[in-house]
Amino acid sequence: MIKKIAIIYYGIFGLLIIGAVVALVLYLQFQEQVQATTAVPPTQVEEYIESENKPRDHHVKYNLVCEMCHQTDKPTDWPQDTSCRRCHGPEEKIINVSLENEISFHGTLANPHNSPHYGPDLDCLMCHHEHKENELYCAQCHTFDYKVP
Amino acid sequence: MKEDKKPKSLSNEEKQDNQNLISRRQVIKGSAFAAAGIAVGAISACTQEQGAGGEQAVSWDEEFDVVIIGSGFSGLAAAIEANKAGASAIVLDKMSVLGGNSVINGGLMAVPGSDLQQQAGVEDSPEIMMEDMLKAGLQLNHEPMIRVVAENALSAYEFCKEVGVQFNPSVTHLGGHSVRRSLSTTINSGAGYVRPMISHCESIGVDIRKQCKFEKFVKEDNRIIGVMAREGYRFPDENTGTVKSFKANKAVILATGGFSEDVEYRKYQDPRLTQEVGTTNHRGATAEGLREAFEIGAAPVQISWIQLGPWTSPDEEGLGIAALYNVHAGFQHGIIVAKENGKRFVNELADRKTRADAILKHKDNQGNPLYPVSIVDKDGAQNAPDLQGALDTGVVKEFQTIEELANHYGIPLQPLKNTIDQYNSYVSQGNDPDFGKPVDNTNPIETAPFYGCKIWPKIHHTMGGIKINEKAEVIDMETFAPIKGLYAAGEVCGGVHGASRLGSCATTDCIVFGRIAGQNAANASA
Repeated sequence: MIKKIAIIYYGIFGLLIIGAVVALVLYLQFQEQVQATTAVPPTQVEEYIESENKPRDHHVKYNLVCEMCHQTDKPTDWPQDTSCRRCHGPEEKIINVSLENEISFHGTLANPHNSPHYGPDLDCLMCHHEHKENELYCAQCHTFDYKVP
Repeated sequence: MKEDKKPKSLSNEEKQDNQNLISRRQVIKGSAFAAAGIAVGAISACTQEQGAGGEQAVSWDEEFDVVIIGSGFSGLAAAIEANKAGASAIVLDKMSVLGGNSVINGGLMAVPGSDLQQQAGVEDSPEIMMEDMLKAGLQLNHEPMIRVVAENALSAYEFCKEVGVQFNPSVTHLGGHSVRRSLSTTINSGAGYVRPMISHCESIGVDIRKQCKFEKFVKEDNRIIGVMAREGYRFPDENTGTVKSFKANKAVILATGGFSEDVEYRKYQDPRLTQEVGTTNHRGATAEGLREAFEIGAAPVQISWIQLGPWTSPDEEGLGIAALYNVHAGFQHGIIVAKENGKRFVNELADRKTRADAILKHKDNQGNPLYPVSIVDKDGAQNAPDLQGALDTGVVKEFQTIEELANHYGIPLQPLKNTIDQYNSYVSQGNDPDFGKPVDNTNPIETAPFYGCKIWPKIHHTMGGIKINEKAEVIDMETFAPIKGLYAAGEVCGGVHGASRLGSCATTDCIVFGRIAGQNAANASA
């Protein structure tokens, strides 16, 4: 008899625990859904311009839309150099762009736009980023004092 | 036939197999991802059901005679030779730049018997070069392989000149070589080979595609018939790009280089080489090409022999400016002392392995590095090719007195002074009884200003890799026979350099075996 009562008590106790866990899981899922539906879609250009990853000011000034660089209003891939070159000029012009510092390396001018290793072939996006910090690709091996604009 | 961008239509037999496989595996037909799924599935089917058919069912996106993975010395040399032999070729590279480690290397190439050596009055032969390589490699080198490298070095040099490589008119004497035999490009970089080779490839119609990452071999009846590769890939983001299939009518050539930048994989081989140890390599020098070769049964060779360069500095990234500075000034005309006691601990001109191992021992109780310092005086420092550049970067520092220098690096002063006095006496007597450094042609350390440079080795080259034979055929681990349709060349292979590679021999190795792989792949029977 005592055994039976014990089993019933344990049974009820167990069901309560299971119920509580299920309720908690459902609640958390509901919370996630609420958050998901209230988040701003990242493709909204206006929101993006205000965000931490905002694009360069002059890109904003010229009426920036995703399409300007990505060739689509719903980008899934990185833009090609051709996008940059439409405004910033052809290879020949980039090679001769004046740099903030002229750095001599082993007696020759270290020109990141026409380096001994990659010539003029380095993609713009190797150094100039739009949605994250710029980086100097050469800095993997060389200590050059360039600030990538 | 050059390039076929349209998906290749399949024969009836292939279609039948295709349908069987699809119905069995419930894979959606048509998309590139589905093709990838089938390929991977089929490869595993092959390994699990050995001899049970294992037919492939890949809808090919592109088709070439020879598909080459990697655009360094080996890959480009292979492409040029394959094209010369009448085969259509494509070179795939996962990075956003071409040339891998080759394009950032120092541009030196060991060639026994070159015209430049003869002009300099140096007598040399492939046999002498082999002896040098065996000595540095602790006799672990596969002798037939180094013979191929040494005996074909001269024609590799001629090949380079033909494709437009410009050499300096001098011959350099590098450590471990018994004679002057290393040639250099006019821009003192491996780019001096890579860029003319890329231009040559473009002029002869070899397709070179960057941002295209090799993922899997496609195998049929124990033969490699193509690869899956992710086009539009942006290193190192594995979610970028789309998987496509590349059919290789004759053969695939693996030229993916070494794995110095692959922290997890290299730690398995040498547990000392943790994340904190820098490398002189480009970021893409990882092991996935090697691992895929193992996956399909390629035999491993000496994987744990990993070379560190002793001349680098922890105060800059990569090879930097310290390497040249220390080779020509710091080590040649100065000393390396331990920060903790101001004493020398190694022959500053020993082979790379001896020096790197000795330097790496200097750690505190917690295992943090106690960076040793190379010290040279005014006269010695004049031998550095770009002393001002080294000072500008801050990697090398100038001091008016030894006290200042000791103070800056935290080296105990009196022991350091004793070390320098002792060393100077060795220089004047022309003999170093402590470590056997050849001091007959070096300066004493006595004239201010003095120069210091913190040193710590960086990973430079992975001697181990997959086994190839003299024809650059990849050898199967179980049968010891060549894997049909697969060739390899360069740092992804093991055996040529044994325990430690001699400077400037990798360039020769890569170009010699790259050419052999290209020639043989072009003539492989389908």
